[in-house]
Amino acid sequence: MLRLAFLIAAKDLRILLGRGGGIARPLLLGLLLIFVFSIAGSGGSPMSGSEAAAIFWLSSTFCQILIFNQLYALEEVNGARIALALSPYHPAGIWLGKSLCGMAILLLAQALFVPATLVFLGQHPSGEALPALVAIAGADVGICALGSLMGAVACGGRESLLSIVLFPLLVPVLLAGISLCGQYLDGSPVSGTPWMGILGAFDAIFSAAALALFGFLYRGDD
Amino acid sequence: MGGILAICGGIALAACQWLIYFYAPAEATLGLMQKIFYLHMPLALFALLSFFLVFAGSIVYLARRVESVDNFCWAAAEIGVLFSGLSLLSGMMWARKSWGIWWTWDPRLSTTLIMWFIYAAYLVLRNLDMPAQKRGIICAVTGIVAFLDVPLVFLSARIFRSIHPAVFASREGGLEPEMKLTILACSFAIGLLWAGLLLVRKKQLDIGTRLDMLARARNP
Amino acid sequence: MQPQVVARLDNIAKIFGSRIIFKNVSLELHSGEIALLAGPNGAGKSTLLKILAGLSSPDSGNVAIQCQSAYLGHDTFLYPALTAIENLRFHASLGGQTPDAQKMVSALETVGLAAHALEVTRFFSRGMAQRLSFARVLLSDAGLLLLDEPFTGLDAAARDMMRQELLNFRRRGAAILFVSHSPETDAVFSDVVLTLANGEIGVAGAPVPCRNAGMERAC
Repeated sequence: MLRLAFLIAAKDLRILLGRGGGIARPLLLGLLLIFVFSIAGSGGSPMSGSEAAAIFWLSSTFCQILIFNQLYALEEVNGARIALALSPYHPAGIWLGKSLCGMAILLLAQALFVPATLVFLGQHPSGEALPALVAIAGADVGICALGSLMGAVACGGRESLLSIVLFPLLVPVLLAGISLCGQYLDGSPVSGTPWMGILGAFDAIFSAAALALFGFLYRGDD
Repeated sequence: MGGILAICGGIALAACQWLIYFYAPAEATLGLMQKIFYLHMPLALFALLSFFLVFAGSIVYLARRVESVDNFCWAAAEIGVLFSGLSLLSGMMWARKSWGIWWTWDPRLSTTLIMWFIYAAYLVLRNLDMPAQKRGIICAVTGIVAFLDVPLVFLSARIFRSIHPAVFASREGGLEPEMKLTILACSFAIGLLWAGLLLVRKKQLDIGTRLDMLARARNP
Repeated sequence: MQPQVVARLDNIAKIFGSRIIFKNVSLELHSGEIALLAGPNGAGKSTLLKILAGLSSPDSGNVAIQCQSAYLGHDTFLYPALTAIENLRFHASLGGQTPDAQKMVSALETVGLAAHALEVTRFFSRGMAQRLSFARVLLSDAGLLLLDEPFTGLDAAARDMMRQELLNFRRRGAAILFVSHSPETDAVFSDVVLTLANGEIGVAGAPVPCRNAGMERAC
């Protein structure tokens, strides 16, 4: 399964990053959201850390939805999905490979979203950075694990459904990410342990669910 | 059977109105408005039960691929969305009248709203134009994932609420005996209605499936 | 050497909704044998191949495959953004093999695409894509080849190349089942011609459909 995962992740990264596969769209969408919200908030009082963190995670989630739509769309061209279904490896390797690739691109996007959030939303971080970094890592794992599973649900002409199916499911990780990143931005006291627990539980539960369920979703026959 | 249960539930619910307005005393702080609780709580409870049945049925469907199980999940999701929507509306009316706000970050209300969104999306998947078995598999996976998320949503909303204090707290712990009897009776009545609606809707879907098959056989 | 059974279908049926595609289909494929599967449109030929490839499950009956198979369907499975050699390397790895550069170049030379090895397949014609797809099959160590209209989009030279390679596979002991819409042309290099029509399978020219094991030889 791991071999298949690395094979698919490498292939997808080559296509998306190396061959102009369309990583610009998710990046631009995320940056645009941050910018639009900065306009919306520019007239009044300074934006709180939680508000800025919420916008950061909203941008990350929309970016991730476009990423997984694209990743699974790669397999719909020329029936490549059938070739994956014919592979002797466990189909969950496809889920893991797409998750790994999605995670890499999301981290790349967030490397741009973080400075954009600080600059456009007028933030001056005064809290502890470590909980925020753990939040980003933990939330990204959960977002990509579930995003990859639901990406398979929504592929094949149903891409527009991914956002309405995925957003409500991601509420726990979004709340955790907003709280922990918010405390980094405005120094407000937040107990990190419960949120780390939520992130850990979310990541574990949905990774296990994906391992068990992906094989039903991604087959060669319709 | 479903029709009989629904009618019995309707009659029982009508009888419960006497319990609600004449038997159960008015709550000391919240007054008459608190009585919406006798409908609000059972609606939320049976919505949650509906979603659990979607979860359990989805697991059975993935194992057995029986279309009638798929229809059961579909019916349960529809009833669950209906009941959770009614629970949300009644909760919002209660909050507005009692505390002057339409919404608050109460963990239970928040969880109900998120569940409503998730299962509304599930119903959108239900109406996709694709072979029945493939649609059944997609919906089964979504139904399993959706219910796994419910406790996490509740816990995260509860942790989040500790930062944003709720306007109202739990009422169940301080109920008078008459109130407890009334809530039990209303839960029983709504339960009958719920079971009846579920069975009737499942039967409708099963008949629809058979009609589709007959139509396809006639016009290949 | 006695031919061995590499694949067997026992009384399989396939139903889509209320439509019976086929039923009571029994079939054996033997090593070192080329079988042509013919039949009208909608008879279920592609579905039968997918069942043998493991992409679809029958609604009843048993499927037994004794060796690794290679499948060539209507789609080419190619990633448009990858080059020819990158596509080959990916699909070889997907099949559990360690890609050998020498073998990949040799496969590309066989199908006449060596000069296009470093071109992205987005710009390939239908015929070129089909040939590259066949190169993927050449790289496999499959004992059973399942080919759905493999000559689609190919010119005469490419068809001759493909027929020659299939004969090489037969010589090495592989079983080949391929679908063709031109049985009169392709029957000449097939050992047996099967017809799938009206939900049943039979040998071309036989008065009744044969359902026993080894029917291709007995009837």
